[in-house]
Amino acid sequence: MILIVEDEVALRENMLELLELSGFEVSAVANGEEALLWLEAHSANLILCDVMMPVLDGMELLEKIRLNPQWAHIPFLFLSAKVEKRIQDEGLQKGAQLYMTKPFTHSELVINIRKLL
Amino acid sequence: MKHQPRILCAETNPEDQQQIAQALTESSVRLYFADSLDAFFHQLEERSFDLILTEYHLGSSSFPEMADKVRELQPMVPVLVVSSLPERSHALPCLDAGALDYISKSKLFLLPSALERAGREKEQLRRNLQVEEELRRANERLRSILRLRKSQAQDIHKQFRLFFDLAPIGIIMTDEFRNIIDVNACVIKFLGYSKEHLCTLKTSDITHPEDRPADNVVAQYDYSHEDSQSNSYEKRYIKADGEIVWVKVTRADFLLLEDGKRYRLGIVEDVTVFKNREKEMKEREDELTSLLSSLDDIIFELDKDTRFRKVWVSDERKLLKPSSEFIGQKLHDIVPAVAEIVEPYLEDVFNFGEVKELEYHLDFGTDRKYFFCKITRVISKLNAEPRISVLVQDITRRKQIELEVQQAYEMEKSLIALKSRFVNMASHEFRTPLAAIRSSMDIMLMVGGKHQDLEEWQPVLRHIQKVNHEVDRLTNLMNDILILGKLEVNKMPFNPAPLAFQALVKESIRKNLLIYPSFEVIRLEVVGKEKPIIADAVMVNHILDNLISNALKYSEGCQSPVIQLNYSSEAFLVCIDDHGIGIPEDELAHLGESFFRASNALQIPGTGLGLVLVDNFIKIHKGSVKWENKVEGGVRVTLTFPTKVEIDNG
Repeated sequence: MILIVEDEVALRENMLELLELSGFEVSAVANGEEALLWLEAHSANLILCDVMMPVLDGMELLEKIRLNPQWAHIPFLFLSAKVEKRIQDEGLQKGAQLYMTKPFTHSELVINIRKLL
Repeated sequence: MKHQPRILCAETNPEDQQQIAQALTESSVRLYFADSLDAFFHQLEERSFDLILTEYHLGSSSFPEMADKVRELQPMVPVLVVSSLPERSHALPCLDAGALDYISKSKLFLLPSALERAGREKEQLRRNLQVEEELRRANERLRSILRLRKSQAQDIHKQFRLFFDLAPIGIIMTDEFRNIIDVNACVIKFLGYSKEHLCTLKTSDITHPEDRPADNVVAQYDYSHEDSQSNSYEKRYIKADGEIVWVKVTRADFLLLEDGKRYRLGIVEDVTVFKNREKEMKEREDELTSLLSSLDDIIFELDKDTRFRKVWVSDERKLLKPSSEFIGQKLHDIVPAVAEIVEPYLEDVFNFGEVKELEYHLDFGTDRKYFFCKITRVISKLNAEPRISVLVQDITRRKQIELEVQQAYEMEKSLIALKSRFVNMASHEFRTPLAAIRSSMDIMLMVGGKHQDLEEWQPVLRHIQKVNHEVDRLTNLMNDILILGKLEVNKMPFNPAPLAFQALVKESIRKNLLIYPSFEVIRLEVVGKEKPIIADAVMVNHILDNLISNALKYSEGCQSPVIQLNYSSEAFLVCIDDHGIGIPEDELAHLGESFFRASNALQIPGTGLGLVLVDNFIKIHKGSVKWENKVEGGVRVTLTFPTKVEIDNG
């Protein structure tokens, strides 16, 4: 199960559809807070997460997940409009396995997801 | 016992001897007789006599003939000629020959009185001789005094000469026509002429032409030597080498009694240094005055009671009243508004020499004027009393400009902030919608892919690819704009480190060949031994990707590009040669300007920002980039990296 955390509706829906078409089991939520709630009830094999989001952003979500022993092992892939190396480094340092920048192609996304699963 | 006069009587006739003896019996005399000429001379040689009596003829000689010999033998003795010869014809020759008297033998009775007269005569003669002797001695004394005086005078002359020659000050002696008669060593050394040369000249010959007329005025002779002031004057001399020197001449005129001629001594001092200094001072004063009056500022000097001492102003209209009326007045009485601003500082400036600079404004009706004021203590060497100088500048115009600049700066700042926000927004906020578009296209491709065989699918597929291509273009543009924005605000990180340049080039070639599959290979040449190059990896990658992709992009269908790395020269050189379409010659200079695209490249995709970034990155490395068209076609780009990079962390 892949959890998509993305506040932009259009992109969230597209990613959901694209990954389902690619044969993955996927769920999607709109921010970090919702992701935490979803994780309480379900289990995820990979989290695909935006950085800038309302309520609880991607960096904060990652910190909380890495602090929770139940979730700490879940591979985490950032998919963000923030392209600065500084922020990419910060994400990787906080425990993300990969940092991809928007826009992305279907093939590079699928290649990276397969790497992490 | 009374001296008995001795008388020699030359008489050949014994009878006459007797008569003579008889005639003199009454006179107390001792009578000696000589009866021949020989006996006569013998007697004269033997002893001295008081009187000589002689015949006119004695042997073969007459008295006039033997008179000289008689006087030679007995010079002072009077001679009486006693003769029987007629008196008229013989007496005169005898008297002429020195005889005292001529007595006829027939008148021998006159003999005693003649004898007496002779005695008196002899006494007179003796006295005369005595006087003559005294005179001679006096004369002698006089001569010796004269000799002494002369030698003293010579000594004085010698001393004067010595002083004249050795005096450390120049002395020139001239006659009344100002012909140079003598000069001392100092003058010769100072002016450089030989003494012989100078002594053929007049003083006017060595005087500067402009000073000659004035020189004539002081040519009047003055022997009083009283007014030494008016006897000194300054003029210019021309030295032998043509140099002009200022001298002070002090003259002394005198009349030489020896020859009655008039002379002049001139004491010559070199005052060139003083004159030059004086001239410099005058020039400086003149410069300062003109400088002060050319300034727009007002400068005034106050004494410790804040009374005006001096006022400088280029235009009197700037003052409330003529500057002359300021002098002696108190600052507060003339300009109370300024006094209130300035006075609180005066004490510190005056007592501790502090310098105060302040700005103030005064309102003239609705017109506000700004002023700068500098207050300084002035202590001059000549005037022991310290003063305060106050410089006042009207800075209204400057203030206005400052205000305008400040406003423009604020505007600029807000524009920069706006631009920065826009750049930030453009490069971030567009990404998510682009990602949505891109993913929609991917979904369409996936869904549509199932109907690939349908004819209607082909145009849809073509358009999906077109949208994807444009999304890629937009993404690249956003990436470039983001970097450019960082470069503009100096926020681009610069981390120089030793790089294996050759490996980076190979990797970039590999990536680009994937994008441009029509090229099979890009030849890489390496000159010199490879060594690490200190540079920023991110920037170098960007540069290489950009230039290599350009080399391929603009060479579609042409020979493959060649890259050369040259480690052998002082700087590290990267040369990228393509064989493509080239760049119009007149547009070469515009490469590196934002959004510039060469006129022959408009059909080829590109943002017009790639080379701007290359240019900027190379500059950060203190290197250079050069584009040139090759004769055989295509472009050569040469990058120069200094091997000793000065880290300039932008």
